[in-house]
Amino acid sequence: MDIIYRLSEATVAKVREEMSDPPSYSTVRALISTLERKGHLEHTSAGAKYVYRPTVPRAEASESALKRVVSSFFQGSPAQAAVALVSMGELGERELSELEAAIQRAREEGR
Amino acid sequence: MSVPLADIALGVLVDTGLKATVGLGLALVLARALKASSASARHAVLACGLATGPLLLIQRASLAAPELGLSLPGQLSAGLFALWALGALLVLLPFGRGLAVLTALASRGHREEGLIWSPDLEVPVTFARTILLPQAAREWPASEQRAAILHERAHLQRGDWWVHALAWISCALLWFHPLAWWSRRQLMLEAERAADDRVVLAGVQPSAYAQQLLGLVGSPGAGLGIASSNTAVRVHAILGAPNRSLVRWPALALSFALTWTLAGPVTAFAAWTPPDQLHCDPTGDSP
Repeated sequence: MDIIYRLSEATVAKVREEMSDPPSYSTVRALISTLERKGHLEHTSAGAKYVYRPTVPRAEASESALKRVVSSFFQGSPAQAAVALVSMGELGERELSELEAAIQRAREEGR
Repeated sequence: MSVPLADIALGVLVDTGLKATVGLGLALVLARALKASSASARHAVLACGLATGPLLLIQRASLAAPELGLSLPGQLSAGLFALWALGALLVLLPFGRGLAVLTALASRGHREEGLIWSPDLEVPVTFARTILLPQAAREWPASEQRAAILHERAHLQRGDWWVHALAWISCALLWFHPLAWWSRRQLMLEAERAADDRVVLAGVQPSAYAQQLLGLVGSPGAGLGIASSNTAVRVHAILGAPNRSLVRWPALALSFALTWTLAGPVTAFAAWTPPDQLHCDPTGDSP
């Protein structure tokens, strides 16, 4: 998110270029996809490429995050905070976890 | 008195749409029945079903018989035919635009050993006889790069792009027919699964390949055929498909034979006769 906030918008390849010790291309792409699924990023098509940009300005996002933390810690409601965190995930996240687990099982079985 | 051309054209379309239901429906049922068979077999069956639309249209249009014409009031036939033509054009436009973009990318890319590397791509793409790879893929781990190239070469060897172009044309001609769109969606999925089968048969470890596929969820466009909606199906198939056979001709022959047997008699007569023609004058004159 830091890189995309800094550049205003970027492709996956550009984000990777900006990383000091970049992981594999597919890992960066998966990370960006997750951020988009969670609503932090949106994309537009530029030819065959996707250009990603933040859905809210940096200041607004920071304020929002801070408010959540303050709310969680200062109103003494960690349970509600946990519920809020869990609810950030979508059905797609659960499916992804299940698929990851299936892949892990296959790996352990040597497939 | 001659039947207006728009009436005949609309009659041919209605006739084709009704009869294509037999071919498309049969293919979908057969593909479902072949659940334990290979993706290649199901793809062949669905392709056969989608081919019935254009083939029937050519056959019926070549007749251009006045008796196929509808007798609708006023300019209704002309209006409906124009609506169909507009719909077909709107379906074909994205296909043409995509083809133009890919052709331009290919012309600007760097050719090497039958592959074209392009800095303007995010994911691998295959179209016609061309495999386009993103420049960034050069930095992928060798195993991921190999799997991606194997997958795209599988599409090339199978001639998937040509089949999908036919499917697109079929959907453009029968854009009003839900079975055409449903068949195309299934066809695309089975093509991806068949290409995945080739990758696994080439020796790529299923779990590693499935992990690579999962990492591409949400990526743009074609490439490995990534779409969140079908990734789960593909991952499960990669990890444990019951049959990865690449043989297609038995399924194609079975599908063709069944379509011919069932749809043949249906195509021998007009599937739909307008009520007012049931009592029309033998000369074909309309009031």
